[in-house]
Amino acid sequence: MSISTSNNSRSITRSVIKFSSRMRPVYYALILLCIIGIVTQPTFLSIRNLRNIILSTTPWAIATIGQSLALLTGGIDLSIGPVVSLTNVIAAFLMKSHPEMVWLIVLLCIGCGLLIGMVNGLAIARLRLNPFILTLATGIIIQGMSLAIMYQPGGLVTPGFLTLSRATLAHIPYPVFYLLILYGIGSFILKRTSFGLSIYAVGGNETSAHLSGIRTELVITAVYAISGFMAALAGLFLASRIGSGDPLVGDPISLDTITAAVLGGTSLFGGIGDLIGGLVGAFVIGILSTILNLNNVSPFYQWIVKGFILIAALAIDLWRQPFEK
Amino acid sequence: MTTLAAEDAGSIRKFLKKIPLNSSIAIWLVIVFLILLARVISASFLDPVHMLNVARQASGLGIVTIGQTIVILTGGIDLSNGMVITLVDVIAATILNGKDTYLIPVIILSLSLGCVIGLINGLLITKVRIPPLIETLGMFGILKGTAYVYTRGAPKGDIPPVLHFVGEGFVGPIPTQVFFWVGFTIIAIIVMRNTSFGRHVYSVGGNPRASRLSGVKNDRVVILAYVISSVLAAMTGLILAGYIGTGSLSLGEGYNLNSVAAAVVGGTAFTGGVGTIIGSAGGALFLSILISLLRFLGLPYSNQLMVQGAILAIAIFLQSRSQR
Repeated sequence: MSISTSNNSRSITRSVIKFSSRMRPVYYALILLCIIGIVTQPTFLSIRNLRNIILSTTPWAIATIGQSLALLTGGIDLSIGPVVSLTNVIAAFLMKSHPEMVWLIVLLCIGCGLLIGMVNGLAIARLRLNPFILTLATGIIIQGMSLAIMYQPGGLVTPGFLTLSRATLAHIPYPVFYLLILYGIGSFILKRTSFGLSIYAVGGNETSAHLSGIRTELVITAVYAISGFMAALAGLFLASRIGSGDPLVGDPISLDTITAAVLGGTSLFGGIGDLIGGLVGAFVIGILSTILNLNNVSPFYQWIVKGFILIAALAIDLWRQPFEK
Repeated sequence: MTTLAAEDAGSIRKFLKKIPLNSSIAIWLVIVFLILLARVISASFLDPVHMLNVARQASGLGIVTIGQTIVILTGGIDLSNGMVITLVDVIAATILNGKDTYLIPVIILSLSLGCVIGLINGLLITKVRIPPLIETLGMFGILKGTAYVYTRGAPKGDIPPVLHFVGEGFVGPIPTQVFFWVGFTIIAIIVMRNTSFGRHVYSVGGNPRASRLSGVKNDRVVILAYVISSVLAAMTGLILAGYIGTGSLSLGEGYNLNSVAAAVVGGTAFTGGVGTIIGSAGGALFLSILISLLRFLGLPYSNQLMVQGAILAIAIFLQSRSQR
C-alpha cells in the first residue's frame, strides 16, 4: 500500500516536472503577471477589473488568430491593423446613416475582410510576392481607404449593437464566449483537420508539402482570407465596444498581434506554434498594460517594457531550444 | 514595311538586351518618366527651386535607406532606424538648447549612441539568433519609450545655427542636406564595390552557408551592417534636427517602413544578396518625388496613401517578374 502511494506520488511529481519543463515561458509570464497584479493592487481581482482586461484584450486576441495562422505558413500579415480600422470605420459610418441595417452592415464588413485577405493570399500564393512587403503595401492602401471614409474619429453604431460586446450571461461577459468559440473552432481545425495539418506542412517546407500533394496555393490563400475575416471581426468588436469609428484604431494591432503570437511560441519561420499560445500572449500584453496602468506607471515606460519582453521572450525561447542547424 | 518594322523591333530587343537593365537602373528610368509626367501635369513642378526642395526632402530618407539597404542585403531588416532619428533629435535639442557650446560632444554622443544601438541589434540577431524583424521591432519600442521618458512627453530645446545650416542651409543653390546624401551614397557605393566588407555583405545575404564555408565571418559582417544602419540613422537625426530646429517625438516616424519601401522599389530583394546602393537612392528619390507630386496635385492624405501603397505593390510585382 505504502509502496504504491509512493510510486503514485513519484509518478505525479515526475509528470509535474515533465509538464512544467514543457510549458512555454509565456505561461510562466502569465502566472507571474497575475501574482504581481494581485500583490500590488487589491482591486486586480475585482469583477470590474477582470471585465476590463477581457474587454480590452478581446479584439487583439481575435486578430491574433489570423496572425498566428499567417506566421504558421511562414508568412506574415501586416494588413491586419488597417483591416481592423477599415471595418471599424465602415461599421460606424454606415450604422449612423442606416441604424436599422445592422446585420447587413456586419456582413458587408466581414465580406470586406474576407475579400482583402483573399487578394493578399492570391498575390502571395500565386504571384509568389513577399508577404511582408505585399501586406505592407495593401495595408497602406487600406489605411488610405479608412481615412478617405472618415478622416477623424466619428460615426455612431446602433445602440443594440453595443450589447454585443457589453452584455453578460450569468456574470460572464459575452467576449469570453466569443474567444472560447473562435479559439475552440480554430484549434480544432488546426489540430484535427487535414486543412490544419497542411498549414503546418506548408510552413515547415512548402516545396515538400506541394510535392506530397497538398494544394499549397489554396492553403495559403485560405489562411490569409481567414486572417482578413478575423481582422474584420476584431474591427466590428471594437466598433461595438467604443460605440463609434476611428480610422487609426487598428494602427498598433498588426505589430501587437505578431508580438502576441511570437510570445506564445509561434515561430517566425513557419511550421511551429499553435493558437492557444497566441491567446495567452495577447493576454500577457493586455494584463501587463493593466498592471502598469493600475500602478500609475507612465505609458511611456510601457513601450520600453513591451520591447524588452518581446526580445527577452524570444531569447529565452531560443536558449531553451537545442541548437539546430 | 512590316518586315522592316519587325526587324526594327528585333534589333531594338537585341539592343535592349545589351543594356544591363535590372531593377536598380529601371528605377532611374521610372524617375525620368515620373518627371516627364509631372511636366505634362504642371510646368511649375519642374521649377529648379521646387525640384531642389524635393531633393532636400529626399535626403534624410536617402541616407537612412543606405543603411537599410545594406541590412536587407545581408538578409535582415532594421525597423528601429526611425526611432534612432527621433531619439538623437530630442537628445540633441535638449542638451544643445540653441547654443554651440556642446556641439562636438553632442555629435560624438549621437554617433556613439547609434553605434551602441546597432551593436546591440547586431549581437542579439547574430549571437542570440533572434529574428531581425522581432529584434529591431523590440528595439523600436525600447527607443520610442526612452525618447518619451527622456522628454516626459513634452520635448523642448533648440538647435544651434551650425546644425541649422546643415539641415536647412544652402551651398550656392543646392541644399546642404543634398551634399550629405550624395556624399554618403558615393562612399557607400565605393565601399560595397571595392572592399571585402561590401562583397561579404552580398555573399552573406545570398548564401550564408556557402559564405561561412568560404571563410567569411558572417556574424561580424551582419553586426557591422546593423551598426552602419544605426549610425547613418543617428547622422540623419542630427541633420533633420537642424531642419526642424527643435526636439520632436514624431520626427522619425515612418522612416523605418519608408526606407524598406525605398530599398525594395529600388530593386533590393527582400531575401537578401540582391540589390544596389544606387538603386536604393533611386527608390528614395522616386518616393519623395511621388509624394511631392501627389501633394502638388492637391490629393488628400488618404488618396496619397492609396497611390503609395499601389505603387509599392506594383514595384514588387514587377520585381518578382524580372527575377524569374
